[in-house]
Amino acid sequence: MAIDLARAENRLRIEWEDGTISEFPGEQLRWACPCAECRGEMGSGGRLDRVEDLPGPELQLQDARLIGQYALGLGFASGHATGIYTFRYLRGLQHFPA
Amino acid sequence: MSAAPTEQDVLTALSHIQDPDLGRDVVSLGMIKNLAIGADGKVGFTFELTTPACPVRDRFHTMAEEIVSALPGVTAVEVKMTANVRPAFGNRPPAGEMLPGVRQTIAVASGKGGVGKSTVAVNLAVALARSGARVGLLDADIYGPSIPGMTGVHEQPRVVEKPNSKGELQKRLLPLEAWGIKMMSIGFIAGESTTAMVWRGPMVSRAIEQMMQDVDWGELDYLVIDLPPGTGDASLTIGQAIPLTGVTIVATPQDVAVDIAVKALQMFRQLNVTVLGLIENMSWFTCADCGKRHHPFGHGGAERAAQRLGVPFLGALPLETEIRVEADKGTPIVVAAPESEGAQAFTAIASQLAARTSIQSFRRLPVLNVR
Repeated sequence: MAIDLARAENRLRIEWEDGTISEFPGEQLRWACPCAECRGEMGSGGRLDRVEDLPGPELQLQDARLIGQYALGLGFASGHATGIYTFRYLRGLQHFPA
Repeated sequence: MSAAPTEQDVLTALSHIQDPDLGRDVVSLGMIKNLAIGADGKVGFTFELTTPACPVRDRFHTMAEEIVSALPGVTAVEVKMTANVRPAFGNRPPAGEMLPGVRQTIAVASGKGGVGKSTVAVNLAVALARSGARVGLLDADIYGPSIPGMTGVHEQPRVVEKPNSKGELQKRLLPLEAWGIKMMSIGFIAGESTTAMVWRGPMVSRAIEQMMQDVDWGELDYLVIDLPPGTGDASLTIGQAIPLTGVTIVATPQDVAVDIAVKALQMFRQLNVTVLGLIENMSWFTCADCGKRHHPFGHGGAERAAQRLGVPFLGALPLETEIRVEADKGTPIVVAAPESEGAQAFTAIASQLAARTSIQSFRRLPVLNVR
């Protein structure tokens, strides 16, 4: 499995073990952030339920790190970096084949 | 003509510039650097943005020039715009670099407490070391550290200063050594006998990260990690901080223990950690008088569960008074009585575990490239 984050193009590309390729723009990933702050917890809504748009740096991919062997942590230029995107979740997101 | 302004004058003026995204002024955010004021009224400074792609970069530049130029005594302004992209994840090393000298990491977990998980962890670690491997043992059971008692080590770890990969001196904890293995436990640091670790989850996670990151483990073939029972913060932290080679789960044979062990197993499957196998502890008891094997907790529960779940069964361990007595004295049974039934069983399981681990070492971890 190969993960490629290109800051200049603001996109994340994943080549899965079966050879399938997924590509995600930073904007899509930011709006899909699964963290508690964005999604809310215990039945109450999160930040992404309340706002209609996000300023530029919020949508710009800046960094990525592996979380154990099951997920990817993504950091955005705004400093938001709390989302843990499990590979299962990423695989299920609507993606744009190359 | 008035005298040149002071640093404070310039900073106060610049603090009127607000960063619209971060909602604070640029001075308190630490974006103004290298401020220099000449006697002739020339003012120079660096405006450090958090990203070179800052959408208000030009506006900040113009505003800073205008505001400072307007101060009495200023003859010229030179603003240098730079960007220092801050690491998104602080200073934590990536998962693959947390334990740089360690080849294989094996976690020992259980569903419920009291199944002998720490006894198993200690004896497996020592058995692996006796086979010639370099072995470490990390006691991740913050609330109930039992490694100090079971290995008879009651010292405090020494702190040394060592250069890191960048050549900077860093404080490192030296692991303690006994029975041929290196060890670290919160019990060594905090004093084990009466002090209770009354900590919430995030403190536990931080302590475990430090026992990996700040301990000078050196080169190890295996790091055995004794997890606390259950599916809580400590297990999750380990599963997130490092790419574990695998986990082995200890259960006693009765249904109530096996059912909860399965929950632990499922947690590790969710974290994509390979289950190296199940171990059944307290499997039988050999009567000293009649020599017959008795099964006080039932028989074969863990083996049946392993078959049902499609994971290897690594073996069964007897319920032996000796194992408990030697553990309480601080000597692992594989050292105290290597010919005993218990020690033989531990040694057999350790080699099973080593074999399973070798198979795992051929797996491919995801490759991450950020550019």
